[in-house]
Amino acid sequence: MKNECGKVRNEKKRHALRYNAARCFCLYWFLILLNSFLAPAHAAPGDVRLFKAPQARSAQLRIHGSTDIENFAAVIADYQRLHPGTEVEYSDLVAQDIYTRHLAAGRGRVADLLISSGMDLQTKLANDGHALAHRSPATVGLPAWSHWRHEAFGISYEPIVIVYNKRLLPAARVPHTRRQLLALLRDPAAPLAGRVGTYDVARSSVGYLLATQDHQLGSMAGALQAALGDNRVRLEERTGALLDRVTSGELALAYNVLGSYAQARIDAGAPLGIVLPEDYTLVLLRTALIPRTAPNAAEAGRFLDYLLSPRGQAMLAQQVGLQPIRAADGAPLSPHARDGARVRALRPIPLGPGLLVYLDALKRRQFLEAWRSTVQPGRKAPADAP
Amino acid sequence: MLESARTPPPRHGSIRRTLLVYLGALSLIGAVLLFVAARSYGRAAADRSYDHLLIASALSIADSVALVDGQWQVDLPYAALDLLAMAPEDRVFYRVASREGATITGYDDLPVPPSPPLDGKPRLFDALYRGEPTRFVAVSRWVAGPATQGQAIVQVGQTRIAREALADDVVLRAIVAIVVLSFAALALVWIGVHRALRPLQKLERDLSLREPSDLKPVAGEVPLELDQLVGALNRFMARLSASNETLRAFMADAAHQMRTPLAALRAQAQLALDEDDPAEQRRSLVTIERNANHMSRLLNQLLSDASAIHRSHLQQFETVDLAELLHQALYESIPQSAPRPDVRLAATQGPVLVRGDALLLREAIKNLIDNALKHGQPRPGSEGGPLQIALTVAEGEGASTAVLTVADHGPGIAPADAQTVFERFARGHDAAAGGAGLGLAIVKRIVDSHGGRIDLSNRVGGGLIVTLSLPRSAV
Repeated sequence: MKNECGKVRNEKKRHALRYNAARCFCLYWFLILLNSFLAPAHAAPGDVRLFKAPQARSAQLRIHGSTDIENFAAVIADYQRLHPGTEVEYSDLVAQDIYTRHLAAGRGRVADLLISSGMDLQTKLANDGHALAHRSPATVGLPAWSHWRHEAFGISYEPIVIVYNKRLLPAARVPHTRRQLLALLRDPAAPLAGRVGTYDVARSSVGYLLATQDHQLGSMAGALQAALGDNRVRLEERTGALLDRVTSGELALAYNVLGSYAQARIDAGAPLGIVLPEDYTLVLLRTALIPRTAPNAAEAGRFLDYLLSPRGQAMLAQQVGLQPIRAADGAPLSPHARDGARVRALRPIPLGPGLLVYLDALKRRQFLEAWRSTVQPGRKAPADAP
Repeated sequence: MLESARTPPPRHGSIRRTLLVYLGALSLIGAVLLFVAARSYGRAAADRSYDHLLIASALSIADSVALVDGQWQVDLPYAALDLLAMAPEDRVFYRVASREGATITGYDDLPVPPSPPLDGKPRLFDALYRGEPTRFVAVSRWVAGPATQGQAIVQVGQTRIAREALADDVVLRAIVAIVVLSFAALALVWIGVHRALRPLQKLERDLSLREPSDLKPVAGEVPLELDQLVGALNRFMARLSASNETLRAFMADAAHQMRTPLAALRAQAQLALDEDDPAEQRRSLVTIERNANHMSRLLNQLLSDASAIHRSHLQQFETVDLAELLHQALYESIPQSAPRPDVRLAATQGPVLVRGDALLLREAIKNLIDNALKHGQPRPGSEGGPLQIALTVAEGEGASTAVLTVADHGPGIAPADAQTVFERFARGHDAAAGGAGLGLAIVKRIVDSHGGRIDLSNRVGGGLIVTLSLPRSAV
């Protein structure tokens, strides 16, 4: 919880930065200058953390990731147990920032590894030739759906779920399909009015990806959006904030949330429940990519191999709460190898050119306009986020 | 045959090797051509199948282009790019631009098509984009909005990984087929050449296993192509056999002919040794001298005959003047000392050219003159006359012949002997002593080898006319 509070503060700062790209880059370059003049990067608080090499430094690795530092720290520490000479600098960024920073970065400030839940943005980087192909014994057995061109690699398997507050929503009323959720939202008693939340697709690239995938897969997406709008849906940029509000009881239910984060809250004792929608459950692949211009590409490849190794996958599962892309015995996970009735419902979002469609500028503008007009009726459209 | 087997002549190449080289080269060229064809076909086939996807993608994007209030609108269909994921490893690029070139959406740095696409005709082209060879298609769409209209160009590109993989697959399969075919072809060529050459080997084995004296014709079936060779071989062997036969007969005859005078010589010599009377001794010696002369003449004729046989086989003919040869023969045959025989010569003016061997022809003429001088003396009591020799030219049907006649006043030839006088050691019944019976046989052999004719006829009132006809040389 403490960490979350810190994150909220940081978010505000980043929020401001993102809305002014010029200022963002000025500050960015200023920080770089500051870094080069003063001290190693560990001086920067919150967003960037330096994990010093336990032994004499023999390699460097700069990671831009959308996973929380606090969770990911254990993974890095475990990696450093295997490779004690590697110094790791981890920057916690939202998916959109990982993308824009990479495109804007000059030489020398390029990250060695990008780990993002923004599958579409990572795919676009790979498609536009920014990624380095990585082939190693660790990548040989990967299932075809979990990587693209050996450039973008899914490292975790994350179902997108409905999260609800157990105290506010009786088990009988918990929706298990989108149709049930729609019915609940349209309930004349309006049990969820003002108490339902989801991602702000204009600001959250993961939210945008999930909304577009919903739009692509389900015929109910439009109706659901409209119903959410009718219930004055609360829009958040980050998963953490959304879960905070559900945990605190401010919201009763959040739609389209990364299940791993919610599970972590439940494990920590939060009064939350998780529903994998039975009509279909989107599965997001947290995607890693080595930029073509990475200064330490070899080290990044080694880290990626570690993440895909049974040990790394187990670490991700235990410490970060991410479902592994491989089963415990190291065999690749089948996309549908789940239990019981949900077997048919899991739909991993495929890595590939299809993801580029909604990144098209015109398409995005049209989608956001339509989305706003249904989810935020009556509100005037703010300036579009990049 | 055996000679050649013992000392192999220098090799001028092997039929088997020649055949193998040419047929092998043929199948190799075939394989290369097939490979080239398979490669271009594989590429074309891969391009064709993936081009369909590319065009479908571009058309579906073009379909989503609209012109609203003078503003271009593109609602990129999900399927447009998802379709291209059929090539799972390939990157995709797209661009929608107005005809004027302004990018509406997509990648604004895509390579421009070599020429703008026409309405309804997708333009496909290859270009290097972002470091990878990429296949592009450009389609154009004319859009009419409520107030304005315009033309949009949709360009979609896809890297070539899946195409190359498909083409490589096609080529790989083709290579397997080509390799198998080539080996099969080479094996067939090998077997075929081997089989084709087997009759030759059989022939060689047959011949090399023969006794040296075995000159029987080669028996057994031979392929069409060897028919001529075997025929020639059989004819050659027949000639060789005949020649051997002639030689053996000649030797037997010669030995037989020599034995009689030699026995006479030995008997006379014995007689002379036993005789005390010098007059008787002298008579024996005279007889011995006469017999020796006879043998000498016989030997000369045998040599002459052998030479005639040898030279007529050689057939080294050139153009010779028969008139000139006649003069030489006359000069050599007629004794220059008295008593000179009475010879009358009637020859045409100018040279009479024939193709032949000068030495043989001269020998033949000499033999005729000798014969006429020796056997052509008039019988006692009958009227004699000069030896008449004439050389004329006769024009026959289309051919011109030189005709030499020698007419004497001797007893002529009995009709019973007319056929046998030309045989060796055969002599006329009442021929004068001292002849070996070779003269006319030699003449006959020489004339035959020159393609001529010899005729004998008895003249009215006694005497023999020998007529010798030789084809005249064309020049």
